[in-house]
Amino acid sequence: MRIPNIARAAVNLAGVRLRRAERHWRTAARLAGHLGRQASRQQERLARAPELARARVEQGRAAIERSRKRLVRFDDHVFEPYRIERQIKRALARQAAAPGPLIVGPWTSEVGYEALYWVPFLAWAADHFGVSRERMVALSRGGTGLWYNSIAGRYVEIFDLVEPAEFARQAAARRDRGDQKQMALSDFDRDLIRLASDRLGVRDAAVWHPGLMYRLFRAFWYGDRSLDFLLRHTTFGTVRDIQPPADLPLPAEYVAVKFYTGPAIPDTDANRAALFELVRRLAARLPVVMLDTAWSVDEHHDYAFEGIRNVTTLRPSLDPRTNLELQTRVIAGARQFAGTCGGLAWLAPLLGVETLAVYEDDRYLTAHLYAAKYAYRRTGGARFSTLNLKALRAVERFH
Amino acid sequence: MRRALARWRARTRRAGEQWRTWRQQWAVERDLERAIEGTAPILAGPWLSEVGYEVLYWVPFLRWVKAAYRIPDDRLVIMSRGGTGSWYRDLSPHYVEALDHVSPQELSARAASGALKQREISELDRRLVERASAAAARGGTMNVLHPSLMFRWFAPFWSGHETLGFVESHTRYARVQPPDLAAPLSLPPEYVAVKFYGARSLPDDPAVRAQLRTMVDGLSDRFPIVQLDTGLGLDDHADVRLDVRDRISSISGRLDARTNLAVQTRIIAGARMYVGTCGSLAWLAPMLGVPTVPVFTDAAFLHAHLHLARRVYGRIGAGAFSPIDLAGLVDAGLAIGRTDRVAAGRVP
Repeated sequence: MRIPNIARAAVNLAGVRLRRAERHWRTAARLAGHLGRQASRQQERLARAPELARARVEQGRAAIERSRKRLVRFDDHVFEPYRIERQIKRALARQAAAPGPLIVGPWTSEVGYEALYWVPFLAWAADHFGVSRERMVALSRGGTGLWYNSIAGRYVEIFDLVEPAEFARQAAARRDRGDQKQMALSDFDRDLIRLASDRLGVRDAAVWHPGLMYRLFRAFWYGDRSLDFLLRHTTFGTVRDIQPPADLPLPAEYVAVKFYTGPAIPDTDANRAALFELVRRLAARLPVVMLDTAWSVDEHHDYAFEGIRNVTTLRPSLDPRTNLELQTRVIAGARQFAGTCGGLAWLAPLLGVETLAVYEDDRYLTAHLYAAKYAYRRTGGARFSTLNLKALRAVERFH
Repeated sequence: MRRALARWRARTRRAGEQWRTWRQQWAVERDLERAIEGTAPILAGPWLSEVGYEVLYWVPFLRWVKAAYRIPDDRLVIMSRGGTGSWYRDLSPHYVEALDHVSPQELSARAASGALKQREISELDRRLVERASAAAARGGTMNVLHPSLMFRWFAPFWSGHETLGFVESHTRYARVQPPDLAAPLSLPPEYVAVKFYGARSLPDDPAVRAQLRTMVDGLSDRFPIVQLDTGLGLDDHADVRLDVRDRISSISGRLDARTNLAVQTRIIAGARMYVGTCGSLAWLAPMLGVPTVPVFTDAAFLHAHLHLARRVYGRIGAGAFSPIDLAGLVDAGLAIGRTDRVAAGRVP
């Protein structure tokens, strides 16, 4: 029998106890450390509590402000334009559903809006609401019937109904009332519709008034509707079958030019000088045919340039009843069109004629340039380039 | 009946599209709110895409975020490249230079691979965020406001499906102050800053090059020219180098990639006029109050940007912004400058 080694057993036992105590100590230290850290975090949190609370309050306020603005924005920029769109489409549908001829017009405002928006809008609306070409009667001025050829079977000339002087007086009165853009149906518009109806021999003809288009697209011009919206409510098409006038002695190749005063090119000495130089340089390459008229039925007046070699003017051949038709035909036969950015410059690319649209101030042009450049590219219109007189003056002594 | 059915279908499709657009916008807004929640510092960037998108959209977008979410100055840390801190001066005093953490070669390679627009967070972006967090030395983590949010937010506008009003209500435009540093060459008291590079809007072909040379030659008769050709090749646009004559000086070879945009900003700010390719610094120059003549031959990819720029520059009292469509001028036989030097040929 072996005698137990008591001393060793005691040492082992003490070792076990010591290790256990050490383990307990470590656990306790860990726990204390953990509690300490938790306490310090808590302390830190408490110390930062006012700052955090302030940040939370600030963020809450900002969120409320954002929500309020979002609601206002939704109302102004989404709901309101949508409400107007519904109203307009209902009005279009109601008139389209009426029996008999449908008068589209009377168009008494600017040429540019007619070419760039009104005619493409009518092309879309006719297709969308199923109005046949035979039913549609275009009511405009200056012999623009050929612009409506593909959508309207008949055309009534406003200058067959009223004298140009009366037309100019009424247009000026409309502008004085603050209605530059035919937003609403005026008494003069009513008179024109009545006279056109009499001429057509119809009573209570249905009407699509330009105000419908102006109200629909105003949101786009102000930036509250997308380009996609505009393109969904227009059908741009090229007009390639217009013949140049046979009875005018035009050169075989020429540049058609029309510069008029307006916000895009204000009538200043510097602009006159720059345009004179521009026409002179154009005429040095090709004969220039100026499309200037001797009268005006709106607030724009044509620039006329005398004494430049190789430049002829259509002035003697133009009369108010047919001036736009003749100008359209002359542009259609031109190798290039150069003119104020606006008016006929919006039409020329759709006639297949390369266009140089000139401006000095693009403040009122941004939305139109955006829409036009996109639309021409999609439609396969001719090249539409812009020439900024300010830029030209900046990079060279151009006058 | 068929028409009514077609109309109803079109309306339903449009409503679906509109709903999808709104959902995408809400998703971006949620991501944006997540990126700025709490009180941790926010890293805005890293911006590695084109200069044009940075000045015309990213910086104004950050201004809006800061104002709309009432973020204090010291929470924002900007990360960009080329020393563009001055563009963000009104946003934050904290600027981290990306080129301190990535080599110019790596950026060039990234641009060459076609991944220029930061539509998502790349590995490189993640690496830069980590480094920026360390560099900001604030301990703890940082929230990240990545440029992809902005690209997602405004993409419908660039494609014509969202309104200009949408962009205007999510941006704040302001004049930009130039950096306070010395130019690497002695600048004349009056000069024109010129920067042309090949782009889709102004292809670098012989006819265009001849036109530009003529224009710059003509300009140099009136003013000394400082040509901002960096020679660094940090993006996918190569500089168009024009013949250097007596009155034309160049900064090529005198720039450090880390500060190249700061130096160019400084030179443009002191110029009488800026003439250059429509894009990049041409969007910045008017914000520095400098009359700007951006040049292009094809505006196909510029419509939305030009539309926005024309609207906002007038509002902030920026320098005159007068674009030149070179193609139209050439078609009309109206070469600018010394017409005797214009090469025959049609601009595309």
